[in-house]
Amino acid sequence: MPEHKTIQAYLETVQGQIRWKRARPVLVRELERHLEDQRDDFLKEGKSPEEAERLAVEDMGDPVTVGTELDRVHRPRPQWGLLGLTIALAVIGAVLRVAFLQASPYPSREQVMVKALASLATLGLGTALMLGTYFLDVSRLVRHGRAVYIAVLVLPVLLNTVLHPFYLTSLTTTFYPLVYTLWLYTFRGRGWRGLLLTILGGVPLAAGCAVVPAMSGLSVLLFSGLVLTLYAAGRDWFGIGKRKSVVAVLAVVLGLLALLFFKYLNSFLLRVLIALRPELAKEGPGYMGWMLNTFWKDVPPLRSISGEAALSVNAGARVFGGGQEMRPIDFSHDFLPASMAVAWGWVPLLVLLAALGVLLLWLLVKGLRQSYLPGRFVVLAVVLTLGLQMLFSAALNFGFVLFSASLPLVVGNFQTVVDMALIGLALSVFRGDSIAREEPAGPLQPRKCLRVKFEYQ
Amino acid sequence: MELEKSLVSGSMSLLVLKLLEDGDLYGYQMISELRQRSEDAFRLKAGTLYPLLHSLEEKGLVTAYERTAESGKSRRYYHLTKQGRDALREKEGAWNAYARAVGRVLKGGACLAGA
Repeated sequence: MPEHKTIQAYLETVQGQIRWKRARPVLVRELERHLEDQRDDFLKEGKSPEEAERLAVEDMGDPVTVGTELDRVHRPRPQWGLLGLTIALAVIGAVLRVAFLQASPYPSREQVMVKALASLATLGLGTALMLGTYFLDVSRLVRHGRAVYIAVLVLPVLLNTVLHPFYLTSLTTTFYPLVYTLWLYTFRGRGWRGLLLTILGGVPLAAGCAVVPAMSGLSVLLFSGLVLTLYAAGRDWFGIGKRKSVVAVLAVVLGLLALLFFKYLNSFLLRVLIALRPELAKEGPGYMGWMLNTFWKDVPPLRSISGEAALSVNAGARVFGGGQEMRPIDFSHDFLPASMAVAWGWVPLLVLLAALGVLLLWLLVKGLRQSYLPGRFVVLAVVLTLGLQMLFSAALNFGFVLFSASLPLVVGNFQTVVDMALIGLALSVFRGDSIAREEPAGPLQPRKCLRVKFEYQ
Repeated sequence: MELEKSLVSGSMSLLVLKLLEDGDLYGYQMISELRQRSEDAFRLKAGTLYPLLHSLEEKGLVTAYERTAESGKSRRYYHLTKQGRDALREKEGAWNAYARAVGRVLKGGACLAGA
């Protein structure tokens, strides 16, 4: 191989054979280190620098064969099945929303058209964003974990001046568990201080949710944050011993929660009580729960009468007396599942929830099998976010009214867009599985790119 | 002693897995170790080793992690998984059976001659 006398030329030829561009630098790094080791050994034997490099290169073998072999092993793993399932669920959501509007009493043609167009726009935007995050390199996101954390925390505040604050910030809270995970990842092996800073990093996020106020977002953040931190502690993430970490995490988190609940204990207990027994306060805050409980009594497994009849006769008649054509609740966003059951019975709703459950379970199982640890954390954060959203939405729709919650993906509007972006990110982990590389353990090497130093130096 | 290429290539994954049985190694160490343990018989090319290691990783027989060495350079260490250990045992068994069979055939002439 006279044409490959230098390490650089050799590596360029190897790279040329690898079709997946993102894989090139990752794969070549290992060969480069090997060539340098070999060259240094030849130098120790007394060879001249040029000769040492030439011999090292010759020793490695034909670069075209090496590159071709690596190309064969490392290919992106397309996730068309899961992408398809996600889009299918979002499409079902869009169809359902238009169908319900059409079925409701006296919709105008314009209303239906607007809803249909909005649903189509949501689908288009969601799919585009999902593909965007699907082709994203998760390792970059992980590398800039703290910068992402700051950006997500600060950006809505800046944007609030131009956009509707509540809607935007409540949407942003959907990203909080993921952002917390990225934050958590940066404290690997950082001891007690790392553990404490990790948990403290959750406080501004929780405060953000409380300010909005996004109770659903706050609950998702608290639950998923606890699970993720415990998962990390169980893997001795902070380097202080598994048991110690788990006990410390539980102590700090439960302590913080106790403080929070102590302050709001009365209102919290009252909320739970009303959620459990809404009929006790049916004239006031229990109204929604009581009404939902009432109309669930009328929902059969399957029903063929559609729309108007179901919506008005069923719950409306029961709650407000026969003959009144009145929709008792908003049948679009949060109560989409309940209204589906009203129109078609509870079996179709169960099928829809099962499909969503299968998607999330599939993501979870695949995610936990990941050897690439940051990827595993990202997938776990996404699954926890969407899984808890689904759980809260189901609780709400079945009459346990604690706070508002939307069924992920199916609900439509911007929530669906955000959910699709999150799923795309999880799928990008699986896509890049074969070249996912972790940062070396031990002293981190200084990087040229953006580095945020803000917190504890 | 230089061995015929075809004899070595088929059993290379067996040898690589065997090397990792005693502890985690990075590529360069594996080549030196193999050379030493085979008394210079196996001079494995790095260009053969890395694609092989990566395909073993794909199959879940080994895992890899980066660790910064004392020199300050980071190295990619390979670790034998439980699945890898099972595969090694299986490959060892198959190899031994093959070697014994070859041995018997090679000895067979002598037996016949003695009969």
